[in-house]
Amino acid sequence: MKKIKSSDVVAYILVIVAVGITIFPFYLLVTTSIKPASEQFSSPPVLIPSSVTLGAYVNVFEKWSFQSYLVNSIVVTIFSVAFSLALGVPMAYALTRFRFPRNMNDSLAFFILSLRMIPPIVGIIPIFIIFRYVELNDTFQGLILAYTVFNLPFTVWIMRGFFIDLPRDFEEAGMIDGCSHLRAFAQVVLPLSIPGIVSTASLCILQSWNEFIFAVFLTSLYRKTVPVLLSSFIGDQQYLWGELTATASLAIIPALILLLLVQRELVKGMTFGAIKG
Amino acid sequence: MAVLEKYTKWLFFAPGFVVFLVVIIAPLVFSYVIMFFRWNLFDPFQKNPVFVGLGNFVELSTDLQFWGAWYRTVLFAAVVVPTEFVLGFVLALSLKRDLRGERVIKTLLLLPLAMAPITVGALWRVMYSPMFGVINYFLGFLGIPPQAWAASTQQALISTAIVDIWQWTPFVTVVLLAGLVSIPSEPLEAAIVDGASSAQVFRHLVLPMMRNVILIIVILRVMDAIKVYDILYTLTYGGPGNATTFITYRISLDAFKSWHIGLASAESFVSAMIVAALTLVFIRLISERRVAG
Repeated sequence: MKKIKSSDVVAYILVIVAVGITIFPFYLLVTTSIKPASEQFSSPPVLIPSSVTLGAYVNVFEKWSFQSYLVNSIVVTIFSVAFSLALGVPMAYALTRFRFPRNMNDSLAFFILSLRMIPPIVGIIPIFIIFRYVELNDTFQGLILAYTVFNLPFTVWIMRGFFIDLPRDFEEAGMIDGCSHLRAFAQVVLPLSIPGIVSTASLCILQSWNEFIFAVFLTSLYRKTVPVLLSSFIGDQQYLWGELTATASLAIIPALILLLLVQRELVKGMTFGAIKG
Repeated sequence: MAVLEKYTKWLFFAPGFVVFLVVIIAPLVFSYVIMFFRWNLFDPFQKNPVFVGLGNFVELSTDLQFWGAWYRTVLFAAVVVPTEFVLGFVLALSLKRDLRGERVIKTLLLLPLAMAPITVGALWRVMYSPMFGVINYFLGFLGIPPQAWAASTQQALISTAIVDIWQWTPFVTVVLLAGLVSIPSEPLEAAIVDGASSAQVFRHLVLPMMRNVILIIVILRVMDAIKVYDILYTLTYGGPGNATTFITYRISLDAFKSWHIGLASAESFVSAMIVAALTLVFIRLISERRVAG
């Protein structure tokens, strides 16, 4: 039996307090969504609902047509992530397996990463104006395009790290057997990269799902996503607290599932491959 | 066949790169053009952009709204990044002791990353509510009188900082823990056998070996703190007054509320330059490590 030191007890208490503070807002979110309306705003606050009601959830679907925002979010997320993988995976591969003129491989990779450092608002203003002229504001195409480019630097950088670690023996063996490089990529490299692609995709989905600033400025009526709906429940004058928490509770489910699935890769991905979780 | 092989790399690289050029570089170039114009998108009397040369920049140089927003942004980053770092380090060191249930704890700590920032802001807005919020309720047990929190000019910035600290400290903890775990334990044990105190071990062995991890997490957090926007949108709307109008919020107001596209583009440009300068400093810091290590 390991002896328990007093410093261990202190560590335990610290961690338990931190975990408690971390998860309490989640508890509040879910319980508020099922509270009777009279208990949403009361002083002192009601921490344990006296009864359970799904009224807010019904409202969200019937009065606020949550389903149409949901469809927008799903379409934009799936297509943009698919496109950024289709474009970004080959880019990352090229950066690790071919020599670019003047050995620019690393500079190109850093350039692509630096695009991610630009605050999004800087890009949104000109994109908004250009989209006005080509009539892409408030369309699926416009939003998908914007999200694809938003995800692309991330995809290239993460997959580049993955390809650097992937041994070249397999594809070289294939190429000796007479495969073209393209075929070696399609038939040998891609199947081996599935784990990397899945975790990159999951991280991109997570970010696109919760993305707000592009969505709010590039949509106005038809293509608002779930985060934009969320922002409209709470304004200077109104507090639709039940609707807000119900929508947020629904919206967080896919994000939580993804988070649990890619937990290990999450830290690695979010630190751009620098730290292995 | 050889000719085909020669072009394979472009086949792989070019499509994505063209999309970059069209969807990122072209708009950026476009905004570098319109920043020299006075252009109000929805002013019926001003149909066309008017060329004003450096006019927007002259205006910006003395614009207290703009520099005030930058000042608050820097202040915000200066509060959140060190706090998250210190708290995260303390928690990571606590978790390093092989506590039981470490895996579950790590999972729970990552949960805030799943919550959309827009939800985070809204949720905290109600938690901060002076009348109905749980925070004043809990503080009441400690005998602390109710505070106005996000509704007060003095407390809004710190209230926003607390929200950011809530969302990101757990992530910083997990990253630092990953760094701590990857440190080889032999040198540490050897130093303790040689009579070094744990403070000395931490200062002279753990911190230097963690340099890379520390740099990366600090860079990431600084960059994100500068960009903070979503939580403001539901927590404070940049207010009260302009107490939490950070730089991204300021630019978005000028662009999409007053529709001063030219001025907002100039603001974006100056801000992007500041961020680029920061990025360069950070990249230099990292490559120094490469040379040294």
